[in-house]
Amino acid sequence: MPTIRQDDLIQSIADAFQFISYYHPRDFIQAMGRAYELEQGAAAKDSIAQILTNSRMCAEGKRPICQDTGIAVVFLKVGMNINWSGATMSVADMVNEGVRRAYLNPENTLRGSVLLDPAGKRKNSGDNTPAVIHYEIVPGDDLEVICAAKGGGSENKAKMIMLNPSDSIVDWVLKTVPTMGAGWCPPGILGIGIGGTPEKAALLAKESLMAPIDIQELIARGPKNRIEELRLEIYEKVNQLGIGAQGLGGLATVLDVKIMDYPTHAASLPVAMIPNCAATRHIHFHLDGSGPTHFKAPSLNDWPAVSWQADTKKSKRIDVNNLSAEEVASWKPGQTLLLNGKILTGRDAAHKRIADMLSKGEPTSELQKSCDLLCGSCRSCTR
Amino acid sequence: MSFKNRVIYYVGPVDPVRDEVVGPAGPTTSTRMDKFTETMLGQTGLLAMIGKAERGPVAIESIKKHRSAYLMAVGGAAYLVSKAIKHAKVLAFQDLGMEAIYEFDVEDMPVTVAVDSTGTSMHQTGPREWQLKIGKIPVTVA
Repeated sequence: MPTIRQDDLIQSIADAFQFISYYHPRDFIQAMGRAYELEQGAAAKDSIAQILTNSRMCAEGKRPICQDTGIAVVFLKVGMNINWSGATMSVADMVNEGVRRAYLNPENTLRGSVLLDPAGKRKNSGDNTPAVIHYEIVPGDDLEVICAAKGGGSENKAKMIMLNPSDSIVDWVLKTVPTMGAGWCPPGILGIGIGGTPEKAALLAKESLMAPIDIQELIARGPKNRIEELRLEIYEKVNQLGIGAQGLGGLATVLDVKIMDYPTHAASLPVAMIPNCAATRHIHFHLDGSGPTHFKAPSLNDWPAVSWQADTKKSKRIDVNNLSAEEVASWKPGQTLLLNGKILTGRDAAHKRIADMLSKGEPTSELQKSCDLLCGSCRSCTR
Repeated sequence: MSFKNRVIYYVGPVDPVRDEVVGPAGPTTSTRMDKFTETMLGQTGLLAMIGKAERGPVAIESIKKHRSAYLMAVGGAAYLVSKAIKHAKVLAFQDLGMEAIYEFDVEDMPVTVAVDSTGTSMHQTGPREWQLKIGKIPVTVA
C-alpha cells in the first residue's frame, strides 16, 4: 500500500514541466533529424534546420523551445493500491501547485498563457494554472503521470467529426489536414482517436500523442492490426499532400501518426484528430512512494549535428528603420530577408484594442499614454 | 512614434531571465490577425507584418490592395529568433503582459517572404508544387 507524498507529486510535476520546456523528447528530435536529411524543399529544409538548431540551443541554454510554453495537460493513472495519506490538498491542487512552480521558476521562467473567464474578460491567470487533468483508476501499486505542454497553435487545429459508420476515415483525414493550414507548425504528429463517444474520441486523440515515434519500426515490420494499417496509410498519404515544414511545401509534414480506439455505438463512428507541433513536449514518469522523480538530462549527442546560420550571401539585408513602400512591394515569395532595426510587436488583444480605439475615434483614459502610436489616425487627439 | 512605415511582429514573448534582452520570442499564428489587417494597413500606415502560418483571403486582399507584404519567421525556433533581438522595451498596453506592444531592436532577424505585394502566397503555391512533385495525390484546381 504505497503512500504517494503530496510534496513528491508537486515537485515531480514542477520538474517535469521545466524539463520538457527545453528538452525535446529524444525520439522526436531524431525523427526530425531524419526528416532534415531527406528534405528536398529549400524553404522547408531551412525551417527544419532552424528548428533543430533551436532545439539544441535550448537543451544547452535550458530555455524554452517555443515562446508558447503551452497549457499544461496531465494524465494521471492512479493505481488502486496507492494511498494519499498526509495530503492537505486535493490531487488537482497538487498538480496545479507543481505547474505554478514550474512556470514561475526564476531560473527559467515560462510563459503564463492560461486565461480565466474564457467567454468574458479573458484575464491571464498569471501562473499558467489551472492544468487540464485527466484521471484513470487502474489496477496497480503506483501513480503513472504523463505531462504534456500543448501550445495554442496546434491545439487550435483540433478537428472532430461524427462519421457515418461506413465512411472512410482516411478520406476524412486527407480532406481535413489541408484545412488546418500551417498554424500547427509542421513537421509534427497527428493524434487520432476513433470510437467511443465524442468526448472519448477527443481524449483518445490527445493521449495517442504521448507515445514515442515508432513509425519507421512499423514500416519495417509491417502492420499487425487494423489500427496499425491505418497509421501507415495515413502517414504515407498525409506526407503525399506536400504541405511540408511550416506549410511552405516539402516532403515532411508528419513524423508519425498515432491512433487509439475504443468500442463505439452501432450508429456511430466518432473521429477526433489533434496535432502535435514541432515543439512536441511530453514526459512520462511513475511515483511509487519512494520519493520524487529525478529526470536525467539527455546527452547533447542525441541531437543531429545541424547548425543553422543566416545566409548573408543569399538573404537581403533590410533596414526596417528606413523602410519604403517601394522596397516592400519589390519582395518576392520565398525570398529570404535579414531584418535590421526596430520592429513593433502586437497580437490578439493589442489589435482588438487598436481597432476599438480607431473605430471610436478617441483614446480611452487607459490608452492615453499610448495615443502616440496612432498619431494622425485619431480624430479627437488632445495632444 | 506610430505604426507608420513600421513592421509589426506577431509575438507574445517569454519574459527574460538573467542577462537576456527578451526570452524566446517566436511568431504566433498570423491568421488570427487577418480580421485586423485592413485596419492596420489602411489606417495606421503599417508597411509589413511578420508571423507564422498562412494568411487567409481577407488579409491577402488587403496586402494586395496596399502593396504590402507578409513575412514569416519559423515557428518552433523561438530561442534562435530571440538571439536576433538586441534590445526590447514595452511601448504600450503593459497590462496585457506578453500581449503588450514591445519595440524590438533586431539584427539580422531571418524571415521569408510568404505573401508578396501582388497577393501571391507561398503557403498556397508551396504545398501545391510539392504535392505535384510527389505525384501520388492529384492536384485539383481549387
